[in-house]
Amino acid sequence: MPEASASCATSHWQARAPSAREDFFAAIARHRRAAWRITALCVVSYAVLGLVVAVLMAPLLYGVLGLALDAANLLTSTPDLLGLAGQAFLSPATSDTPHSLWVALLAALPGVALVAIAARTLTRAFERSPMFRSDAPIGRPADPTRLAETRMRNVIEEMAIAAAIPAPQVRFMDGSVNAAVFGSGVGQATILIGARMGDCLTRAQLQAVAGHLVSSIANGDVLIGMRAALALSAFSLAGRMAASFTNRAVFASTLRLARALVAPTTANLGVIIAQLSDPLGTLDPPAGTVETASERAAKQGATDSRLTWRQWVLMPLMGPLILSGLLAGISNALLLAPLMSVMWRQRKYMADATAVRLIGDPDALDEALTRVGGAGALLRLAPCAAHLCIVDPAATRGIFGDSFIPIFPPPALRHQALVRMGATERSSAGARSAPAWLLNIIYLLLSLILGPFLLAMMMSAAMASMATSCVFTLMPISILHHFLR
Amino acid sequence: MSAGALILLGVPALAVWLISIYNQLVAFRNQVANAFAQIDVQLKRRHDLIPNLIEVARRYMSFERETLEAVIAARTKAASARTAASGSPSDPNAIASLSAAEGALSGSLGRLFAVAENYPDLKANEQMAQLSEELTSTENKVAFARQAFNDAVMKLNTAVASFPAVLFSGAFGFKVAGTLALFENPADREPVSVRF
Repeated sequence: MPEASASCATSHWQARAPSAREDFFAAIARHRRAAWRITALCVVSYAVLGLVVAVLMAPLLYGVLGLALDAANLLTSTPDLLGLAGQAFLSPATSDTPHSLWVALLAALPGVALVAIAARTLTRAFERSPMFRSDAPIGRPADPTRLAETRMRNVIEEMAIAAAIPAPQVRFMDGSVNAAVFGSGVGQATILIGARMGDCLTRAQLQAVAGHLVSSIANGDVLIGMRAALALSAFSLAGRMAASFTNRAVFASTLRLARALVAPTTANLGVIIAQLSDPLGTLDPPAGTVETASERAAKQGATDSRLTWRQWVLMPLMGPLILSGLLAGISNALLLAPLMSVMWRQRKYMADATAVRLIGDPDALDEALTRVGGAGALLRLAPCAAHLCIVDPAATRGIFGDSFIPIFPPPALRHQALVRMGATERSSAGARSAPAWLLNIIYLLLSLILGPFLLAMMMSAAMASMATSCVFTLMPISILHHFLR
Repeated sequence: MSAGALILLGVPALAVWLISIYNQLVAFRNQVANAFAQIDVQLKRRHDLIPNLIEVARRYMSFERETLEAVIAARTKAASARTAASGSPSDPNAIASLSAAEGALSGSLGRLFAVAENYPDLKANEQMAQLSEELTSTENKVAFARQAFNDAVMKLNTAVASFPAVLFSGAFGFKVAGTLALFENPADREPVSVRF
């Protein structure tokens, strides 16, 4: 290094006093606490939203069940469910009338059961996705004739021994400079590495990258990442339902997904996987699936807002489905995706801190992150897996794309976290980011503003859904019930 | 409660307590053996790689016979020390011998690589690069596995020396185990001489 540049590099650097340096055990514990708090919040949010959606769906589900009983009554005597429900709702309130909360819970039961079945099918489909399967992973195995790939595979095995976990599968993707980890748990994890990583990083830096990836596996990020992706994908798909009656392509796509959810055959699981992998992206049917005439017509007139006779027939679905979709979409974008982003950032910081514990060299990790980011961080992955990369793959729009809080911590903040653990401070690391307390205040203010807004939105959606349900769901059901009984 | 009843309840309780302590000591000893088995696999791999490395180096370093033979001799000693240690991983003497033998092997390998710097053709050889990488990786794996072994040894030693296990652990053959300090060349432990 020339003398001038060497002096320039050292003039900004000051060794941190041991008292000022954050212990990486403390850092791991702090990030773990924060991540679990946010995870719990996300779980509660999803449960509440699921319940609201289930309540919105209740009139439709009870109506369908009641009509089925009415139809069966033509052959044999069956209870008049719709008549009983009508009497219960229209009769004046007495002390014997059950509490409204119990009525709401009872009404939500079929919806909750339906949501649970749909969630189970979606989880099954997601687990079968090539991205999360260890028996059919993407990429190719290491080429033993390429030293860089052998080295990368070796450092991952070293880190697995250091973290006391089974060595994960290692796969390579040509022409990429980034790495991601996925799978369904500690024993079934796969690490996907851009083949160019080995060419642009030193062994110590590769060890740091491997340390981060293996830490993600050991900390359980693989499973959490999969669940986060599944939840966001599912809500994004639900959000897409809102456009079903104004966009034929969305309508066809929703219908295709509904059919796949009702009959989860192997072929249909492929349809679900394709839609989950990119819930915000293309609406084309996945390769290999047979396109029906209605889907072709829908594709041709994707932008046509005129309703077909099929859509008119399905109009009773409008209230519950559209409003549930609208609610899910808005909540997803305004609340859940940002919450997930904050949670995932904590997991990233935690993996960084654990990697420092394993390798004992924060500088190597810091330099590796800078180099990977500087090289474009390209890794061709499905949007549902973009957040599993070590550095933000800017070219892939992930499912967190709707979130106003980016899913990856800014490089400057990540650098600062590593500096606190003893990494060398770089003047080129960009402007100092806002301190954590300021960000927390901003998040709190946003929550205070968005919280009531979202609550009002939910209540408005529920009322609008009831009104729409009365017109498009309950009225046709009442007429049919009248004729059948 | 009568004395007879106390004895009737106390003796089985004492027996259960002692059995649980004994079982814990057995579990810790097995953990040490298991942790050593992880190291043993990697050490064997290291010893297996060295003849290949020597074979490649011999083609380019025919004038460095002494250095190459020193590595072979150190490897032979380390291999026999490994065999002895794998038979009794809780024996501090066997572990100390293994540490010393592996340290000597690391020292001779270090000299070999230092001399290899003078042979650009050898440095550029692809097979040599692959073998060096495998050797480095194996040594790293041993270093990381050593942490787990030393943790297991510390647990066993604490349990053996704690009261009341200390009263009967010796009688049952539980001894304090030795920690590993692999790949540390004894010369590296010499005090650094600073001259002004």
